Amino acid sequence: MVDKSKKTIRVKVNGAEHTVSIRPDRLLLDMLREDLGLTGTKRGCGNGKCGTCSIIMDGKLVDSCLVPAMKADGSEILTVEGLAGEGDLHPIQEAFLEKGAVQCGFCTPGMLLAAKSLLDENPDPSIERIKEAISGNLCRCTGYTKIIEAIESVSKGDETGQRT
Amino acid sequence: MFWDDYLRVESVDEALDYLDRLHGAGRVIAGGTDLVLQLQAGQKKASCLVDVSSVSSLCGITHKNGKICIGAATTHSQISSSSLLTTNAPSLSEACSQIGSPQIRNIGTVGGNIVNAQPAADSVIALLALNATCTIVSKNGLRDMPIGTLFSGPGISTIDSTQDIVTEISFDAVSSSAGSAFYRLSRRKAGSLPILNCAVCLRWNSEEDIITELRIAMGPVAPTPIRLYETEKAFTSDTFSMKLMREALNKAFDEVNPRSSLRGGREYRNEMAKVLVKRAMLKALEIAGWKNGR
Repeated sequence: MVDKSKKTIRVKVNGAEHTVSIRPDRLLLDMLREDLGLTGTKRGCGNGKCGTCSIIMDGKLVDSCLVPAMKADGSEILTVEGLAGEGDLHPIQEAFLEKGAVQCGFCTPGMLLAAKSLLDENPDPSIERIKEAISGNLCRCTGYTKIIEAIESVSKGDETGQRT
Repeated sequence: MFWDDYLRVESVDEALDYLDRLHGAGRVIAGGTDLVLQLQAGQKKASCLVDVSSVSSLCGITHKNGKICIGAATTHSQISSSSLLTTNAPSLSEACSQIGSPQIRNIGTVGGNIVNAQPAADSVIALLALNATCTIVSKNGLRDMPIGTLFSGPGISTIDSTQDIVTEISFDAVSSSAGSAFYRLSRRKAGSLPILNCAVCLRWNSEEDIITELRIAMGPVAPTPIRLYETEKAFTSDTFSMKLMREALNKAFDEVNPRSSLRGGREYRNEMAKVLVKRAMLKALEIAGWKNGR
């Protein structure tokens, strides 16, 4: 039976087209995690302060906990699951590993996407610009120094594929 | 359920039709960064949200007939990165660049910041000093309202989003003898609401060393964003000097009426109001061509 209280939306997530039947008051974060099973995007504060639910929607970094899923209808979304290629990590992910920018890992998906959003727009940002770009993402382990170093190393084109 | 239905519209007329048919049960949503949380917390109610964020006529910044016009659904990111605004209203670019976080600025809109009516809404403080006008449409027609008339209490706007839509915000493009500036005091550099914020817009007469036109806006020093009219009068009453500055800042101290909150105490805010007005005045004067210590 068709549930009339549900709406159908179409989204392209990490390159794959999805048609989702969803209650109109669901949030994009919940749709990604529960309907599409993409649990890489984390729920932290749930009110737009911590940034761990960050995703890239139509090229813009947004907090998916504040975005009604209906707003994403027709959009293109990138989550942390879409960063790596076939068997290869994204250079930003490699840099995070290389520099030890991952501690507990809970903020990492959001940090990676904030970094990608910055580097897509500005491939050679200053340290100040890097700090501003991740200013909406909290790291509870306070490992900011390594995160900033990692993002800087990608922009400088350091050899990041040679982990020891 | 927080809301039962969600409609995305392509035009203002379509949105007005929906709101009309919903008889008060509909509500306009733009970026939703404040509204979604308020609906979840039960602070606001709506059975149907009408999303105007993809209406193209509500997005963008233009310069026409000496006026700068900003579509109400323009995001804070778009405003802070607009070269037209960096030149014509640096105070507004600066204000929008300090709201929330990059994620919030990418989706939150200037129209939403106005309707949300917080006493220290950064973009509103800047727009108040720019003497901005808001264009609001409803089924009953269109009205142009000075931004200062749109607030009746903390979080309470005279714009009724169950039937009104803010379409545009406009203000005079600034001339070379004019300057504007915005300063904000907050506990952290990001994700933090202001302890105090202040915007200034002025015109400078370098022949006579006098400020000929001045508007100072400040928050949160009253239940709504306010202008400091007495302070403005003091600054424009005589040729400009540091002595005049001191006298005018004392007026600012008397004129503001902040309250104590988690973000800052009343006494601290009262003292810091003087500091913020001074910083904003010096910056705006410098932009307008004032030569310090001449």
